[in-house]
Amino acid sequence: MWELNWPDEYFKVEDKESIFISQTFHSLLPNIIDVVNNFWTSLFTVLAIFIYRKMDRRLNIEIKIDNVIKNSNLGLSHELLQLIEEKSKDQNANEILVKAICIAENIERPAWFRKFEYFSSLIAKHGSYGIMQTQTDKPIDDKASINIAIEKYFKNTKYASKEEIEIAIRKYNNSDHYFRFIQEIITFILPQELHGYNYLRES
Amino acid sequence: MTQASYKYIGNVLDRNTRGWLPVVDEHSNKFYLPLLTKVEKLENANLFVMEGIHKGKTIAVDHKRIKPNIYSSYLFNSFTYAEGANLKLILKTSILQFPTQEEKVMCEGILPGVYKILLPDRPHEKKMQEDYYDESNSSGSRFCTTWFPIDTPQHNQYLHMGEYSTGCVTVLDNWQRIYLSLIHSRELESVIGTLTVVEE
Repeated sequence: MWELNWPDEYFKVEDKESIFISQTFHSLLPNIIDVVNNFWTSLFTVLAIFIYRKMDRRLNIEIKIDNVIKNSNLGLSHELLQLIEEKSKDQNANEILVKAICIAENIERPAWFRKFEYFSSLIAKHGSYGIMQTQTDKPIDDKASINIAIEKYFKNTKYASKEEIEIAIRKYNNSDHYFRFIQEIITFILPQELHGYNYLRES
Repeated sequence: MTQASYKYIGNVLDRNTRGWLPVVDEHSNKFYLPLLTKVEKLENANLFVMEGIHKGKTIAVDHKRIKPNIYSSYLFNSFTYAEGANLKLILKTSILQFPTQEEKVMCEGILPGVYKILLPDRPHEKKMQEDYYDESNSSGSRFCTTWFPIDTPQHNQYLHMGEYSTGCVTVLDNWQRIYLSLIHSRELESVIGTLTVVEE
């Protein structure tokens, strides 16, 4: 067997060095407990930032609704606006209410997100689709979602009282935040003084 | 001979357009028409202005300057104006009387007499402070840029909302309601109503 025939002193020195290097190296490396702790800390930090940003966005929506509506690319084409107006007239629906819902849904679920939902329908068909985020058993486009939403939720709301409007909104999405959001958008479109009136409208 | 097809500037009540429709004339001049201005629809989708300081101009709606679009059309096919507004200003008490309400105003430089209140000429944005638009209090209004010209010999006198007066009749509160009641009134074409100014 092949043996090293080197002086002992050399090996002793080498041992000391390797122990030193090894200890230094180990002290630099975290142990497994540290790794796990840091992982959870990072996860909570990321989660906290995500929640903060989400809340911050909602706060902005509440406070700077004008900017949110103005700056957002509403995606409400002339064709869709015309459809809402005609369908609302046909179903005796409150056009401003329908538009407010449409704007809100479009801000919360922009076009790119709706496309994602449309593709995810390959896995599970039931879901909310189109610009009005209508619940259906199969994917539908923006136009179909407007037609279904008006027929199902907003028919005969044209001359509805404030209370009836609230019921219609809550039937669509029963959350206080959503209700306030819709009210804000309605007030953006029409002054508070004209809510519930067919005033200054085409005669 | 075809019958004239009159339309009315509408659907500009939102906080973005604030009562003004951006338009462009045949020479590419850009300006605004106030809510409920009477226009005539021409065959090529253009409009002929029937009243106000731009009366006689051929215009088109400047859709590029309306963002976001909330309506597919900014014209009413028909509209019935209310009767001309009759307002009375009492200089001694600085009270402006409307048929159903009265408001405290600031008025300096306006003399007793009977004057016509005219259709708003243009958005007066320069002197507007941020809080003038704030509708969370009764003095703020999205329509604060709408000033109603008063046809006095001095000219350049308006009925408007604000906090100080430089020769105008300045309304301190409830402009939103006042605007809405005035803008849909017509005594004559281009004339909203009459302002009678008395000493006491």
